[in-house]
Amino acid sequence: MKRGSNHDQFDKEPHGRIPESLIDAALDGEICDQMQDEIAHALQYDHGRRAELLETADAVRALDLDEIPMPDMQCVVLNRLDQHERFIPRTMRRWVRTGRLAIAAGVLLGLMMVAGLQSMYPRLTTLGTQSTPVDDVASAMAEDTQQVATDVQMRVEILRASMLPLDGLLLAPRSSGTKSFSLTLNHQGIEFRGEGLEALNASGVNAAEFGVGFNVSHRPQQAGRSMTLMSFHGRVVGGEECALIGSQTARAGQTGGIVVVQSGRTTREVPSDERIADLP
Amino acid sequence: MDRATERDLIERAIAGERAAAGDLIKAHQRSVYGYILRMSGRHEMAEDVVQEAFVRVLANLHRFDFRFRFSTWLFTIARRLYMNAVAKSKPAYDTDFVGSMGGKGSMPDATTYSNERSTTQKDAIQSALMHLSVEQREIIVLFHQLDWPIALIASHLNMPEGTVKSHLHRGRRRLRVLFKEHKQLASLYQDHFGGQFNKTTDDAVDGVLA
Repeated sequence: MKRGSNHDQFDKEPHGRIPESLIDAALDGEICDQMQDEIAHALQYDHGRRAELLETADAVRALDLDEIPMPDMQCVVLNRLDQHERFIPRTMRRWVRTGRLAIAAGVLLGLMMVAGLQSMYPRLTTLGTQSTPVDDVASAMAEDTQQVATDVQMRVEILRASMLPLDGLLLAPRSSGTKSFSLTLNHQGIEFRGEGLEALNASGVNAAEFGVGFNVSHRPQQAGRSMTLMSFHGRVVGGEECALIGSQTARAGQTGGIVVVQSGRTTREVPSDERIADLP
Repeated sequence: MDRATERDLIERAIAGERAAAGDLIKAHQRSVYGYILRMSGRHEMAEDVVQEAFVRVLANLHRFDFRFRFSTWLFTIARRLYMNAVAKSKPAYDTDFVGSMGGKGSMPDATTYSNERSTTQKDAIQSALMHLSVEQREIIVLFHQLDWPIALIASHLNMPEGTVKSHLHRGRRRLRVLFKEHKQLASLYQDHFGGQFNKTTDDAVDGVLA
């Protein structure tokens, strides 16, 4: 245990004991041979320190590994390593290495072939789309949307056509006091076709024909005129063409009425609105 | 084992030679097993830890840096595994179990004393070691049992050399006192059942200092 430095001085404690630090240094192997001899000589006279040193030596010697029964772990460790395929015979290692290289080369070659085919025949190596439930739902929704769009467009056109005469009516001031048309819905029949329709238009009631019937709108421009004929829809009643007029009055307290017109004459009248005849 | 031999064994083991790996195990198993056994005081734990350390070291042998010693690497891994095992196996005290083990009014027989005496003789130093702090125990084992120099211990434990020496000196004094107490306890068995301890003679003083 000669490991260390040289102690030049051999200091004793005042009461004659060898310094403990010196014993520690000796046990650490940090003193020279000459100093060891001096300590060994001094220990003959320092019985307390000598006893301590003997006890320490006793404990240190007890640490000897030879006293420890120890299992041989060589086989166990090597077997565990074999499970990890750590150790392979040299001949086998060559084959393993060759096999790994062959697999890598095969994978690389395959990828290159796929890339070549892709560049030459893109359609051959491209997967086509397949019908899936989601696709079916999407296509059905698209069809439904198209249908709804068509319906909406048709209704918009109808509405636009119905509003067109009204816009003209609103823009063109109607001549006041001229009774060019007398509509007595509750007692007279009205021919809405041909001349009757023209007459209706001439009176300021704009009527447009579409489908199987008419749409008649009238809004008086002057104050005091009470009647607003809002709509007119054609309908087939009893096999003959007829017209159903719905009206709405502008003023409070005035009610609307319904007149059924058939072939130019009023065949049925709902007498709920006496004022409906109060057109100018 | 000198460094050239060790390097040769490592290179052959890396190349896949099973016998070389076996030689490495054989060369180091006693020291690392003794180290972990002294640290833990338990054979089972020491065996498990050392086996696992060897498996990890040999499975990663291709990463070994030849600038260092193989034993240093092995001990570092074994120590880390031991620390992890200690952290996992902290005792959970079960008071019910302890209560159920209460005395039944009978005294241990002579066979028990005899077994105990034998165990005490063997494990006196281990018992004393287990009463030291972890640092003191580890440094004493590395220095006195495995003959590691202070500088290597300091590097292994990542602490200054002065701190290592301080732990070593304090631990050694305490070990001396504790071992003396265990010997005195064992001598009681010796009086009753015979047998003897190895006694340190005056010649041992020269041996210790030398």
